[in-house]
Amino acid sequence: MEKGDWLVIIIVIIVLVIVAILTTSMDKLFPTPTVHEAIKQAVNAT
Amino acid sequence: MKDLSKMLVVKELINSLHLIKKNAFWLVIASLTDAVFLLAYGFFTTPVSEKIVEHSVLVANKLSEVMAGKFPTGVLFKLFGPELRPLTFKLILIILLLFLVIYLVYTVFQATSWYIATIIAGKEYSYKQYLLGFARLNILWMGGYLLYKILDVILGLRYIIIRQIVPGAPNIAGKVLLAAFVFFILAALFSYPLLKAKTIFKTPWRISLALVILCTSMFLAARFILDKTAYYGFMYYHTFTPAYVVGLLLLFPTITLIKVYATRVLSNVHARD
Repeated sequence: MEKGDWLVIIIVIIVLVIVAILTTSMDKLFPTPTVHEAIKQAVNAT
Repeated sequence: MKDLSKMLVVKELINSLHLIKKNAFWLVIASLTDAVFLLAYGFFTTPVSEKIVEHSVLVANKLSEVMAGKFPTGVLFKLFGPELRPLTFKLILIILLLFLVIYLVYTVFQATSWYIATIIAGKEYSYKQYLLGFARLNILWMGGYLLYKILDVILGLRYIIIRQIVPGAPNIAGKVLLAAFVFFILAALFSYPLLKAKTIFKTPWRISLALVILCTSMFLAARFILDKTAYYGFMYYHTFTPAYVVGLLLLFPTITLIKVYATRVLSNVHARD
């Protein structure tokens, strides 16, 4: 392991944390209708 | 009779086993990295995959509303029409996000695991150098994977239509695509030890074939033992604990052995490159 490697490891950990935050907040980023609304839409569609 | 132990592929397999034994610490770290990769892959991609399913249902419902009472033609045109465009673009955005997440998780964990394999194999890269090379290579492979997925969907839908016209028609295009995908995976795996995309084309085919057969056999043997352990563990003790133990103690170290072995063989073949 070289000196620069530790910096890379820290960057990698930060990237993984950001991805974890992104994927766990998918509901906020891409909201979808509630189940009730979705059923209503499906009924309307048929 | 030919002395098998002097053949490169056999000699390096024995060397790899010795190296693995000598570097037990790195073997454990590489195996744990592979095990954590599987968990992380599920953790990171499941929420995005669920969103894709949710949005696909939304798009399908909306499409049914738009097309109600009309002859079902020009579906693609309607998907990008004013009524559906926002939803369709959102769906495409989430699919691209899924590929980005897969790329990041795969690159981080597999680069680490392959890097450790190269350390065990006696090659000297710095982690930074290896990770960057691995990330660069995987832009190419991830692009290929995206293309494969698109072709797979198109050919799959095409085959459904063909089967309705000619029941029992063979899916030749699908099989050709699958063969191309297997070759694509091999090309990717061959590229990792030396971080060169064209390694598979520059390796003598006899060595490539022997390497692929031996690596596949080792992997399948480990999988076979794991499957049997899972089956009998569940049948007799109603638990998967023995399978988890075998997975950690056998499957992941075997994967590391395969990586070390491939690195040794390919480094020897391309020593002068």
